Amino acid sequence: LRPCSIDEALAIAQDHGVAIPAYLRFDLCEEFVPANAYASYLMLGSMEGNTLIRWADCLNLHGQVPVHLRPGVLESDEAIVAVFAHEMHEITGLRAAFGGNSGILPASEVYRLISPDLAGNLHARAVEIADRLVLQMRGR
Amino acid sequence: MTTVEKILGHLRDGRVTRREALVALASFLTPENVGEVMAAVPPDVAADLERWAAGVPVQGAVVIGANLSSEEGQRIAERLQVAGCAVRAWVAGRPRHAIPDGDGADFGSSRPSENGS
Repeated sequence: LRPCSIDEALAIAQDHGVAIPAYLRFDLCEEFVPANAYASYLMLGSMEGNTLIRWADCLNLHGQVPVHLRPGVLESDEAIVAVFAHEMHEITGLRAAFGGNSGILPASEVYRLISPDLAGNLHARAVEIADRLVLQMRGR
Repeated sequence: MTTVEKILGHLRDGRVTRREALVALASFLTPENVGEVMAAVPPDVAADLERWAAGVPVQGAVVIGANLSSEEGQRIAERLQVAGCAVRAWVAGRPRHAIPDGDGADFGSSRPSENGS
C-alpha cells in the first residue's frame, strides 16, 4: 500500500471533519515516537512536577506544535483520521489550558492532562473522539 | 549523517521543538561519548545541555511526552539520569578555559510567538 503524503493525509482528515489548525505541524519523525505509540508531541523528558512549562516551549522555530508520526499511520485512512483527530483534540485542549493560565503550566499539570495512564483527561477524551470517527467511517 | 546531525536537522527544519531536540541529544549521551557529542553540537546547544543536566530530577519526577506509557517514561527517565550524570562529570572535569560563554543559550528565549491563532 502506498503511504500518502502529509498533505494528502491532512486532506483525508479534513474530509472526515478533522480540521487541523495552523499551529499544528505533522511530520514523519519516527525516532521521536515512543514505543507502542503511533504519534507523539511534547517529548520533554523528565521534570520535577513543579517545573513550569511555557506554551512557547511546546512550539518549534516556526511557532507550531510539531507532531511526530510513525510512517505506518500514512498507510491507512482510518489511522490517519484517528491519529490526526486524537492529536488535534488533545493539543487544542492543552493549548486552552495553557491559555487559561497565562501560557504557563506546571509539569505535573501537563502530565495530568496528557498521560495515557490517567482516566478522564484530554488523552482519554481524544481516544473517544478518534474511536467515534473511525466507527463513522465504517458506517456504524 | 550522524544521530547528532539528524537531531539538529530536525530542529532546524521545525520537526521538533528546541527542548525536544535537547532531550533527544541527551538521550544519546553516555559517559563514553559525552565529550565527542558536546564538541559536535553548537555552543548554545552545549550550554543548554549543561543547564539541563544540572536540573535533571533524580526521582519523583514526571516524564512529559504525548502517548508515553509509564513504563516507557520510566525507561526514558533512567536514560536521562545517566546522561545528566555524564554531562555533569564532563563539566566537572573540563579545563576552565574551555567553558563556553553561553551566548544566546537560554533555550526558547528568542522563539517567535505562535502563528495562526
